[in-house]
Amino acid sequence: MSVISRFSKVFLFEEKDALLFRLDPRIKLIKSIILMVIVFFIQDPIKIGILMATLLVEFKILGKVLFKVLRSILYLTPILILIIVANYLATYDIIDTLSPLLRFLLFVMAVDLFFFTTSPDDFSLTLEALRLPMTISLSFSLALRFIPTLSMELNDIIEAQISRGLQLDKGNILTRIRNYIPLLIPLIVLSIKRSIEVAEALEIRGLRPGVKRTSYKTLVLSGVDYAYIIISLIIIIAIYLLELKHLISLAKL
Amino acid sequence: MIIFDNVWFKYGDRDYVLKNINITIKEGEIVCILGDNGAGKTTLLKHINGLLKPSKGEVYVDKLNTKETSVSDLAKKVALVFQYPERMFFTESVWKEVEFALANFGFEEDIRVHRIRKVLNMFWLWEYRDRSPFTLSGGEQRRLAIAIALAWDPKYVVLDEPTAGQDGFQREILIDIIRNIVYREKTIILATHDIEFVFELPECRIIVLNKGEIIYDGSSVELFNNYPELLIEAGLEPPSLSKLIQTLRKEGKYVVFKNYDDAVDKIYNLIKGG
Ligand SMILES: Nc1ncnc2c1ncn2[C@@H]1O[C@H](COP(=O)(O)OP(=O)(O)OP(=O)(O)O)[C@@H](O)[C@H]1O
Ligand SMILES: [Mg+2]
Repeated sequence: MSVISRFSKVFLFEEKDALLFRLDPRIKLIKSIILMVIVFFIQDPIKIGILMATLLVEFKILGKVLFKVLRSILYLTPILILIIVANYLATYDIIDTLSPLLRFLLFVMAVDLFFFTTSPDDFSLTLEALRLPMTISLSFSLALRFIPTLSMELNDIIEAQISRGLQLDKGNILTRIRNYIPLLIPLIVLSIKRSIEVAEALEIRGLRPGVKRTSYKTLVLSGVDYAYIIISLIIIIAIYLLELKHLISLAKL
Repeated sequence: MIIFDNVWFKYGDRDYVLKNINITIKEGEIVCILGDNGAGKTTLLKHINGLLKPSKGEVYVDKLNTKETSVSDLAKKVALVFQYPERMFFTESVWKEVEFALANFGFEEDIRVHRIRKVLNMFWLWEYRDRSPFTLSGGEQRRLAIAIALAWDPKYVVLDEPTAGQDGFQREILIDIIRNIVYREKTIILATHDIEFVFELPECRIIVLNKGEIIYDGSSVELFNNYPELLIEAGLEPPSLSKLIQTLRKEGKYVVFKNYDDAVDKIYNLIKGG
C-alpha cells in the first residue's frame, strides 16, 4: 500500500520449506562471512559474476528466496547508480567500473544469504553461540523479533489514519513529510509501551543479567550442514583459483 | 445502501477468509456482525470503506463500486473506527484530535469549530477539550474516538469491537451512544464477539460469521430465542438467558425474551403465576 509498508516487507522473515532454512545458522554465517571477505580479494568481474551466478542458483533452488533477494537489490538502486557514476568518473574504464559494482552486489547477497533464511529463533541461538554478552545478544534478537509486529502495527496505523481522511501521497514535499507525523507518533508510543511490557515480562520470568542461561533448543551440526559448507568452499576456492586466461587460451586451441 | 455482492476475499495467496458474502444494508439499520476470533469480521468491515477490495465480487456504497472509488472519498461517507482506536491518537489536545479529521476532509474553519463543539458536547467531552487525549481514561478515549468519527457527519458509522477492553459501565454508555447515533439517522455496522452486549441491543440485525461464511442473517430476538446452536457452531457462547429459555421450553413453558428487562418481567410473572 504505502512505500514504508512495502519496504518493511523486505525485512520480514518468512519461513519457507527449503534446504537453506533448515541448515545450521552458524554454517550460513560462516559462508556469509567468507563471501564478504572474498569480495575484497577477487577483483576480476568475470570471477565475481560466476560466483554471483552460483549464489543466485542457490537462492532459487535451495532457498526459494530469489525474488526477495532481487527485490532487496532493487531497493539499493540509488546506491548502485552512485557507485557506477563515481567509479566511471574516476577511471573512465568499464571494467574498473563493473568490478566494484559487482563486488558490492555480492556483498549484499552474502548478507541476504544469512538474514533471509535465518529465523529470529535461530538468529538468537547464533548470537549465543558466538558467546556475545547476553544483554547484546538478547537486545538484538528481541529487536529482530519485533520487526514483524512493528510492521503489522504500522499497517494498522496507516489504515486507521487513512480512514480518518489522511492522504499520504498528496501535497508538496513538506506536507508529505508532515503526513508521516500521524503515523510515527502512534508507532513510537506503541513501541515504548511494548518495550516496557517486554522488560516486565523478562523480569517476571527471572531474567538476571550475568547469570548463566541454558538453552531449550540447541544447535547441532548434521551431515547436510557439513556437505553444504564443504561444497560451498570447493566452489568458492575453485572460482578464486580459476585461471581465466589459461581457460580462454585452451578454448582457442 | 451498502451492498456486498458475492464477495470473496483472500490475503495474498492464502485461503479465502471471506466466502460468498451477500449483504444488503439499508439506511437507518443497526447491523451487528458476530463471530469468533479470526472469523473475518475486521476483514469484512475494511471492505466498506475500500481499505480492502474484494478478490471476487463487488461492494457498493450508495451505488459507488469500492473498486473504482478512492478510500478518501469513501471515508467521507463511511467512518471506520478500528479496534482500540485510542492507539491512533497523536495530537496534544482533544480538540486537535477531532480537528485533524475535519481538516483532512477539507472543512472550513467555522464549520470545523461548530462541528467540534457539537460532537464534544454530545459525548460529554467538552470539558476535556484542552487535555491531552493520552491522559483520558480508557472509556473517555473510546468515546473520543467515536466522537471523531461522527464529526465529519458520515452517513455510515462502522465500529470494530467497540466494547473491547471496556468495563460494564462504559458498555452501558456505549449502548446509549449507539442508539443516539441511529436516532441521528445514521446507519451503524458493528463487529463484536461480545454477545451480552448485542443481547442488550434487540433492535440489531445480526449477521453471524463462521470461518468467513454467513451462517445467520436475521433478527436478534429470533437468534437468541430459537437458534442458540448457531452461535455455538460459530464458536460463541450464547447469552446466559438463551440457555434459560431452552430449559424453560423443555419444561413446557414457551417464552420469548427480547432483552434483560423483558426477561426479568416475564420471569417475575412466571413466578407470580406459579
Ligand atoms: N493482514 C493480514 N494478512 C494476512 N492474513 C490476515 C491479515 N489480517 C487478517 N488475516 C487473517 O484473516 C482471517 C480473518 O481475520 P480478521 O481479522 O478479519 O478476523 P476477526 O473476525 O476480525 O477476528 P478478531 O475477533 O480476532 O478481531 C484470520 O485468519 C487472520 O489470520
Ligand atoms: Mg477483528
